[in-house]
Amino acid sequence: MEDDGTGSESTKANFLSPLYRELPLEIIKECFSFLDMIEIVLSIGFVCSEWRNTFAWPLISHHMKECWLYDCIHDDANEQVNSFDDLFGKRLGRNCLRYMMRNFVFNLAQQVMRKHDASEKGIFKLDSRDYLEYSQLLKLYFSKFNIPFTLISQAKYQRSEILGLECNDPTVQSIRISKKKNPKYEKNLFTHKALILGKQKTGKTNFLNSFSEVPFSDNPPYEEHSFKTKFLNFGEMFRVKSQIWEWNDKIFYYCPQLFDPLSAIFITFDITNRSSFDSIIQGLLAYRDNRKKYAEVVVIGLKSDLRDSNSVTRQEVERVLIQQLLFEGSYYIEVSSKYRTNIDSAMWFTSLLVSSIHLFTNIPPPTSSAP
Amino acid sequence: MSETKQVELTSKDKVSFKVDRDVILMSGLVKDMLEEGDEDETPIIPIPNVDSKPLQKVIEYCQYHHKEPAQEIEKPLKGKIEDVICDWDKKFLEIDQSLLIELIMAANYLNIKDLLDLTCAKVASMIKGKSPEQIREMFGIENDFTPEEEAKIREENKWCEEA
Repeated sequence: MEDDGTGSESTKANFLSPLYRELPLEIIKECFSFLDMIEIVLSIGFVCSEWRNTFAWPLISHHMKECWLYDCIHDDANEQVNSFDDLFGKRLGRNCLRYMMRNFVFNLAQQVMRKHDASEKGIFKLDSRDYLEYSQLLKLYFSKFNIPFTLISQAKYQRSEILGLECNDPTVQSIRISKKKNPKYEKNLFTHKALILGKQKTGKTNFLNSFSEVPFSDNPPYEEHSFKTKFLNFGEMFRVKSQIWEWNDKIFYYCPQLFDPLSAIFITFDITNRSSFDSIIQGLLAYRDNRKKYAEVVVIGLKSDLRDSNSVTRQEVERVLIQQLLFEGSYYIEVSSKYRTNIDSAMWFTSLLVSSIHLFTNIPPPTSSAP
Repeated sequence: MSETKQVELTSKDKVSFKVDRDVILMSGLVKDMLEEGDEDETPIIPIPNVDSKPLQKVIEYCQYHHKEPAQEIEKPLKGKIEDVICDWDKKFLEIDQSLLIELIMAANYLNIKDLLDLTCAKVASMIKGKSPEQIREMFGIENDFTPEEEAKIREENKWCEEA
């Protein structure tokens, strides 16, 4: 009976222990408090109505009020989250839910990193058991989310290709991040482009350079635009090639097509400079006004090594990302390019997230009005 | 006998265990009981809610952890429970599920917070990644949502808003 619950067939018998039913409610609740928030909502909240009201909603609402929504009380009455249903039926609730989902992915990304301390520089390996475990989890939860058909045509095309590959080769060997080109993977390439947006002097160039381990510089040479590529190999299954572009806020006015298909946008600010934080909304609007397809927005707080008492705090940023409906619950990561803090996590997070969205979310068929 | 004071615990099925006083003070319940009157050399404390098998495990846990305080288990659990606890705890948790559940009840009754956390986190770890259907089966629960309700909520659950 040492099975830890990862197998699917063997553990089913284990779970029939009728003794679980005798545990007092407060102990069951204590057990659930160890779960991720998204697990509490999407798994526990859908077991039965009693569990939804006794466990899921109290555990979730406590956290949301505490961290994200406590000063939201005087807002428009339409935008309060007062019930479990509001997590799905209201935009503010959906923002909370999406943030929880992204937070879950970030935690997974960190687990990957912790388990596979990069002994070789820049290469992370993940064995097949781990890979299957992680992708099962991602699939379980992402399949509960819909992406509007109109926003995803490109990704849908890519998905059909990747799903084909998934069937071909179930024996996954490793996941690696590597800068090296390997022709073996070339045909399975799943390219995604990412763009870094931010005001001058926020540290965009060093952030970009840190992805490819270019040494940190206090005064990097100004470049009109530049790009780096990075490959993440998820076993033999597929590879994400991410191109990271850096440009200024006006980029979309020039040539939006250049970035098609754009999968992720890093909106950056300098945590020691409040006005750069205030401008993240402009950065988002610049992208939104030109949005044709969905792209994942990740907000990046730069220069975390220079934090002092006046710096922008994580709580402040999270609240903006959840309460500002436009952000749709985008995730926030604080990094230091100088010390490479969280750089790899940001990369893993974005890649896991973008590929999961494309692989696992539910794309409802077009409505009858479409031809 | 050495000079360390001992306590005698009697389980539900009338099995007695002699334990060092310092060790069993990890139990909030026993601690409270001992504080009331401490005249006897070896006080006998009945534990009428706990069988000998889980009580044995509890004592084992206390004997190890009264010297090596357990590290707090972070919430939410980062991965599987085996990834975040020490080797001794890992071995300790290699038990069947009925004993695990008895152990949870014992930890709750005896008020041993670290052991309760460890065992609850173990249950959480087993629930992790399970679908609502699988969890219902585990706890023997009927689904009382109508298909329409579930469909509605699923439809509303969008990853991004249409413009």
